[in-house]
Amino acid sequence: MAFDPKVFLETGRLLLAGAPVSEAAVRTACGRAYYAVYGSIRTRLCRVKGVSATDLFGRAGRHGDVIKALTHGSADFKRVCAQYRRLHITRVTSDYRYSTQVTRQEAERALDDAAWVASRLASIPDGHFNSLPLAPQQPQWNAR
Amino acid sequence: MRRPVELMKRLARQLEPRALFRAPEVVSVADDDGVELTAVVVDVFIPGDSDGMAFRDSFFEVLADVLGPHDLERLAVGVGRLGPAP
Repeated sequence: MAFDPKVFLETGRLLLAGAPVSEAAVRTACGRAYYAVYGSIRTRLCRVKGVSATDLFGRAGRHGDVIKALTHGSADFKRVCAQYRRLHITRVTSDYRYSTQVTRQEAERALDDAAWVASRLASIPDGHFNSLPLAPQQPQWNAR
Repeated sequence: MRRPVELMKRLARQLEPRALFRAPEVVSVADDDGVELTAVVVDVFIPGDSDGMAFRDSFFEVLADVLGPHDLERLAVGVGRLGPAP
């Protein structure tokens, strides 16, 4: 059975369960919150569009394109896009901006936000996912 | 973005009068795909005894209805907790 990315939410909670919680655990939990949702969207889109993850998302993940697609999708997606954008900013900050402090409270917030976004996305019909404006990328041939 | 942010705060307070807000901050990030995205980040904080999922259901439904696409695509909103959870 395929892995369900929403399990990352449980992993994120486990990372915050200890006392004291290290900054590395806090930052990792923020990443798990984002990837629980991003992974769910990715899996669902590939299934309903009948394309591979490589064809649809390429090597770099198209994170920005997913955000834009949610923003310009049906009303169901518009309701989650502000929370999804917040999750993305928290994840990039946690992964790459080491001079910016990321607190345990922010990680808890991100996990709660992600749980809500994931539950809303799960209730959206396949047809709405299929109509999200995110088309497979053109193959990029290596010139050499 | 002042008007949409103030509208967002008003909507949040209608649903949860005890809601507090982090000062809006313009943040630009670029992910592994190299796409740079800029958003106004505003976090809403609701009391620990408030139902966070129900608040999000109502708040983001109304927010998506009242904000135009241009404003909606520039907002990043988190919902945090005030004080200890029950």
